[in-house]
Amino acid sequence: MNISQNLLGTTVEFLLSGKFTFSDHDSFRTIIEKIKDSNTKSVIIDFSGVDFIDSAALGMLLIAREEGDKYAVQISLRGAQGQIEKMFKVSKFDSLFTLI
Amino acid sequence: MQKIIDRKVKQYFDSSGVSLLESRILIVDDSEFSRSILIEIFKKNGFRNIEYAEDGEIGLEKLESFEPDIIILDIVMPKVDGFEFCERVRGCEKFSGLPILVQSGTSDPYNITKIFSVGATDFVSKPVNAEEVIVRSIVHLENKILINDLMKYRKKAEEELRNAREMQNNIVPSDDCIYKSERMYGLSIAAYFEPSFEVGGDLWGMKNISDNEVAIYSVDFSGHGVTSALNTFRLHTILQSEDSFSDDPSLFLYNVNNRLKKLLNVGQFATMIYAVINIKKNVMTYASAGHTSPIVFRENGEGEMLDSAGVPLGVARNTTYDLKETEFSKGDLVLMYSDALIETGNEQGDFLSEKDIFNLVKYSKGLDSKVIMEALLEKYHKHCGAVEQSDDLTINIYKRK
Repeated sequence: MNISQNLLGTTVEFLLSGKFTFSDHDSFRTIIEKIKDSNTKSVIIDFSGVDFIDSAALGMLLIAREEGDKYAVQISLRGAQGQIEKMFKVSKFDSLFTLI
Repeated sequence: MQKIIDRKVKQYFDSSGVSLLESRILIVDDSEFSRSILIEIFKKNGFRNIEYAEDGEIGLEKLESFEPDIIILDIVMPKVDGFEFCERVRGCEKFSGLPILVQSGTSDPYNITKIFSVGATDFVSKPVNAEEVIVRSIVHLENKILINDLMKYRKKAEEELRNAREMQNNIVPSDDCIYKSERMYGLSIAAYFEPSFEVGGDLWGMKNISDNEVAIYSVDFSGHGVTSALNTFRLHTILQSEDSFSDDPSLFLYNVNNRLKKLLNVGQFATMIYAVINIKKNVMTYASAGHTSPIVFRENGEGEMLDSAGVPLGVARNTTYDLKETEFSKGDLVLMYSDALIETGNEQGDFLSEKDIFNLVKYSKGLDSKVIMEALLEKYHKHCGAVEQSDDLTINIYKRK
């Protein structure tokens, strides 16, 4: 999976593309690091370019959520469609994250 | 150069404490002069187990009697030459990893290629630089030791995993237990439980609630392999306490979720479906924490994909799960499965859809659960083709007779 980053003031936008699976553990760390950064107040993770996620990816998002709570950073998930939207629906991610 | 060799041989021990210097060296060469030079250089560097053979035929005999760790081999020899020697050695499975260092006077590229093609590991040109033979031999001996250590470790790990797999088979209902439930509740039950790698993160089970009620459940812990498997054992233990089972699926999941939330690391979770079949009231009540949609198929040909949306277990404290109900009369069946069934891509990257599964069950109307299971597995394996299963697969079919 590819991750590109945009900084908009205190909001960091991560644009993901490709398949988001357990092999993306290392690259996902950049998102966790940004959440811990004191300059970050909110994080948007964009899924428009993602065509597949697995349970490990959901686990990584849950870790991001926990860190977000710890560091008072708002996490939003944007642009989920297809299989990603389906996974989010089944796991009721709308009750855990802000989905935009 | 000598200092480096000295340091290497003195430092090198394998994992059982055996020194590199105890390696058994076999020199196969028809020239006494060549042999003496090689024997001398190995002795000089501290190797003690050295034997020689004057031709390929004697060399082959010594393979069995001496069991060398490396062979220094000449090509031109009477009776059995170097090429034939290599071919015969490599023809034996147990000698496939034995290093063979060939020494030859040829500079013909065809011959050199031929030497490697018959299975030589390495090549030095004659007249040999004795020190070169030593350093190359050390490289091969070190590799052989490393590979042997790795293979020993791997064999041990595989055995441990086999034992763990046996344990995991013991925490899902036995054939006897399934048979008893079939008789007690008038059910036809089929189950398939196949971890992707020795052990996995799936668990399934049944619990007699009353004379008319039986609970059935399926769990899928995130990830797979040893970590997920350990979680299945934890959950199984939690579920062993008598009071944990309930005729109220919503309450059951609420309690299990809170217990798992305390145990699991952040990022770990489990999807679960818990249903109670009531054979007197002809209903099935259920609740789901994000599991795959069970498929209900009725005697009259109607089918239903149950809504299974719910926050997975272990994520958030005090999560509530909706209690749902559906008709479940004689002749009806319910199919539960882990997501490997619909998330294993074939070579083209396509998946089986719930619709595919649904249609297959539809055409199996009137058939026994075990027959339906066989048809479903055939479809699944046909779909996967050569692709290796990378996720745990669990399928359960419960049909009211």
